[in-house]
Amino acid sequence: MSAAGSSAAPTGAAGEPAAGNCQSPDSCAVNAGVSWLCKKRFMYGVNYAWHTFGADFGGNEAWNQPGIAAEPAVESELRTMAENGINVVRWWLWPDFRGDGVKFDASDSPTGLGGTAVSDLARALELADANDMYLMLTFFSFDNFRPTRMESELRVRGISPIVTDDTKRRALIENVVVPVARAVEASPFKNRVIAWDIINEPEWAIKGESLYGGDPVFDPMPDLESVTHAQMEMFLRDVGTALRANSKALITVGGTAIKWAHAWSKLDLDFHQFHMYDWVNMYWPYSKSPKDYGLDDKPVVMGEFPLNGLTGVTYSQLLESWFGNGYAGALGWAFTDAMFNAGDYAAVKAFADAHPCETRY
Amino acid sequence: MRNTVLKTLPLAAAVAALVWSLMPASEPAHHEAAPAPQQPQSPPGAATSPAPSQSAPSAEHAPTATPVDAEKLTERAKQQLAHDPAAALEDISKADQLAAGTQSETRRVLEIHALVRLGKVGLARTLTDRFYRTFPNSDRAQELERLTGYHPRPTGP
Repeated sequence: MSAAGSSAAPTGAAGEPAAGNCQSPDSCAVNAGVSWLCKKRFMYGVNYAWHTFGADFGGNEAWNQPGIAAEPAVESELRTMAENGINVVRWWLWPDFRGDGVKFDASDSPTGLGGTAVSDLARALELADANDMYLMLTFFSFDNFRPTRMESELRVRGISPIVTDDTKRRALIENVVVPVARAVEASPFKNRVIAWDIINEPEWAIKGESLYGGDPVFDPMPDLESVTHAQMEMFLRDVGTALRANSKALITVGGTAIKWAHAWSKLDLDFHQFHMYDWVNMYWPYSKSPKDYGLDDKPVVMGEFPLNGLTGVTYSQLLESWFGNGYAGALGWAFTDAMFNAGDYAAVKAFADAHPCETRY
Repeated sequence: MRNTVLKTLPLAAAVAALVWSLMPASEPAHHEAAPAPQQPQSPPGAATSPAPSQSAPSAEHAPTATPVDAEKLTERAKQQLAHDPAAALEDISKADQLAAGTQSETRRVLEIHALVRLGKVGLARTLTDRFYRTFPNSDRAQELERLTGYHPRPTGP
């Protein structure tokens, strides 16, 4: 099922129309956008991407890092985003397993949500509603594929042995992914989760040939425990299937780059997501349209790019190009990355102010 | 020689990374202009890497022109980066050998740029991660983050 390119929408907490039942015309529709709650919009946002890496959802007691429910700064940070025109926030749940959010048994098989994960999730939804924002929650990242190791006397488990083991993979989905999806569905603010982003840039943990589309061979980071494209696809398919069955939020994958445009083409996703940095722009320029890259089956969102622009290309130039060239959204990197963001959101706000209707759900 | 370098690039680069990982971070930062990304004609990659040159060594590689100190090799690597990243990588490796025991922030930046241009972005990102930890106060970090898309990760409590 794909809802993103149509006007279909899930049932909302406050009597929003059910999927496929959007009655009134959308007075602010954009040509290219992602549809949610009967509104087709240019998905405009930012990557948070975390307040505390790996600890936002569950905390990390060993390192004295609370989850977001006990982090007052999160409220003010989200408010700052909202005040600068941000409508969608890409927020990472467990980019690795250093925190308490995911529990494991002695065999390193996931057994459930831990720490303050559930209350942190509830707080995130509450804050999103208070700021009239929407969340794209990213479950995992290529970082999870680092080998199991000790970090500051903390055992950090790698995900590769889980991904490649049917029993452990099922345990991760049944004991972690599904409870998160159900917790969101049970929330009065469930519509604040606009999308599940299954994993951030999984291509960096894939070795060997691509299965589809004549895409180039994968180019894994050598410090990761890489898997094959087929193994990664199976993992993402299993997670996506579970999310589809337990949540009405949209589903995407945080694709590394248009270089591997077809990597997830066989999955049941609602919109494509790709990232853009200088290395990508050298060969797959930002100025080309999705159609130029053969992507015309689903909306295409640029899920990451430097908040202060590429080399020689400003933030404003990127946004105006994508907005006018058929892309369905853009989320800069990152609110808490000081190297790309010195607290100056003038360009971010200027684009939102110039397109107030088209960039807000 | 470039032919040999290209054939053995992954191993050579991995070895360079290993050597780097064992070297102390002791050399002061050298802040030089970043090589601006250009628009190559075709994407690099394992299947589409630039073909190894079968011609005679370039003038820069003529034995009589071979610099004998790390600084000159580094400077030549910088000049070669845009049009011959494999040769640049080779010079960086030689410079590292000549400057054994010292770190070079400039060489590490050039190495990462060269790897990106050769389509070895995965390795370039791993080296970028190490760069952040080796040179935590470097003003070249933003350049590498924008180039590779690899963001600094907090480690430890």
